[in-house]
Amino acid sequence: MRIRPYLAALGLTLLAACGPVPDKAMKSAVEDIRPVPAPLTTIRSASITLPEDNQTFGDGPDGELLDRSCLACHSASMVLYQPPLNKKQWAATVDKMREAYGAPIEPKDTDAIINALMAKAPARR
Amino acid sequence: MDRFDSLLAGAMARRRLLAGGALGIAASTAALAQGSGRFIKLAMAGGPESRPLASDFPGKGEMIVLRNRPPLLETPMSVFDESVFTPNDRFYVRWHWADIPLDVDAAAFRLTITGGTRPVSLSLPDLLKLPRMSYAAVNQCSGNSRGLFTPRVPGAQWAHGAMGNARWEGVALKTLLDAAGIGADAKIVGFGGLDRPLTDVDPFEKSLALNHAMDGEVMVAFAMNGEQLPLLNGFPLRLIVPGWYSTYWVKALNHIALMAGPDTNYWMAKAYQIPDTPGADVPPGTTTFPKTPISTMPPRSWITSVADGARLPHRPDLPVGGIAMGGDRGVRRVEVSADGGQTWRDARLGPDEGRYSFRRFDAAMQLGAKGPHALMSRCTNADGLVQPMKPNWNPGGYMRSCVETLHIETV
Ligand code: HEC
Repeated sequence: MRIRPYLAALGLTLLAACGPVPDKAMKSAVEDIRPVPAPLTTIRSASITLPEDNQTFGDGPDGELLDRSCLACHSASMVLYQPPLNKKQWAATVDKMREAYGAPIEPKDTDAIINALMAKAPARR
Repeated sequence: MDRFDSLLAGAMARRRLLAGGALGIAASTAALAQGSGRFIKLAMAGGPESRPLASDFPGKGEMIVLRNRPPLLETPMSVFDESVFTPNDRFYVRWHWADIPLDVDAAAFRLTITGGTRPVSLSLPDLLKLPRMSYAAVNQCSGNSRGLFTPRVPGAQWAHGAMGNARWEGVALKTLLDAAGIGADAKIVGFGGLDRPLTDVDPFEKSLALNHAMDGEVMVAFAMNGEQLPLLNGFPLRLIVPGWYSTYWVKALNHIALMAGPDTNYWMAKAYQIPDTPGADVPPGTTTFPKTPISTMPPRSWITSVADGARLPHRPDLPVGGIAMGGDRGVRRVEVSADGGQTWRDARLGPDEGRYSFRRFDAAMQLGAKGPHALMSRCTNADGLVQPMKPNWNPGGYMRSCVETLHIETV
């Protein structure tokens, strides 16, 4: 881990954190004073590699249809962590993907996609 | 559509790889697990509530993964209990389109300003030589706590962790706009970054009114808590709009434009619209109402020393701590209640790190008898604006700021 300039000041709070939680809460307001970090002097190039995105909608025709239609721009979790949506709400979402974001969804596939979402994603009937 | 097609092909290749069976995914369940194999439960009516925790995003410690691509990473609430400043490696992450900068050459990077009386192009060393400013400010997603809306609404299902407080250092936007020269037609200032959409639609760009952009506080930041910005939080430059929601804090900022307006870009004119009503509140289910772009943040507060659902040994006076924010004003007062909001007592405020910062508070909760307790905190900002008890509702899931309740039990 990188050392931050304020880590020394944090030490106090960290030590307090070893005690019972409530006592730490009582002390922290007076102890948590941070020095302003030193001004930045240089900016170095940066490069990262993101973790692989392995999410799919599962096997079967519904899963495959959603993999084909919904994974190009974002992970499956964008869909699978939605609250239970009813058919109208899923239909509105599919329309939004096509109209606002340019998702290449054929009008003839829309009904099948909505049904697949009702089967594979959080849904309210 | 070339770029889109190749990305689509990439996604398909990954899928085929999986379908090849190496990972043996169960037919009925989608594969969501990744990272550490640890999960966290976020209380959201109707679910789904379980989210993976992962530490494998570069430069990030353990984060709640709402979405891998493009990353939506939420800060666990326990982080906010450790300090009013959110460490860079725990600061939440939010991008819209998957083509985000992953490799930035600091020597080649330029910030350009167009639409002024002279074109400006600045390298990072140029920027480091200009007069600087630094202040603490909370960055909060417009949709922070969206997952708690009742009835629920679509969008990123954040709990409370789509926020963070950092000390930002950089150059006043005013300094840069003065250098560009402001022509008579200029009414608004637009901001764009290195991230790109995958289809032929508007890129993620935002704008501010000229007088706001020139207020001397809006900043082009190159440092966050004393370090260069992490790539996932907008390296090398990020617009800081203190007191305003994060949607304006354009990441990987590389282009500023003085414009006559009005701004018709999708992300200003269509997205991030709230009802033009007090507290962005309309009756649940309402779809048509006068709209306005989201702007300043109202006050909020959270008890962070105890987790929701905790069972603790009973004590009549339970010391608690938490964090408060005043929004676009400082924190004047924080009160706490141990009886679901019937009676309130003042909390003690921690050091003032500036009007836009989180502020620590401590208090002793008077619990009475053993059993279940509903703990609350309520912030009043320097303008006298108080957190309401009633949650707001709007179809975008924006601007939740009501008093939050922690349910605990003492035994
Ligand atoms: C052309 C790209 C693209 C495709 C293909 C696409 N989406 Fe999206 N989707 C987006 C973008 C962009 C967002 C906004 C992302 C953000 O806010 O982070 C989004 C957001 C969402 C959201 C969040 C709710 C909202 O209204 O913003 C849901 C749910 C969603 N998509 C579902 C789907 C489903 C289901 C499919 C397949 C039918 C799909 N998407 C295909 C681009 C796409």
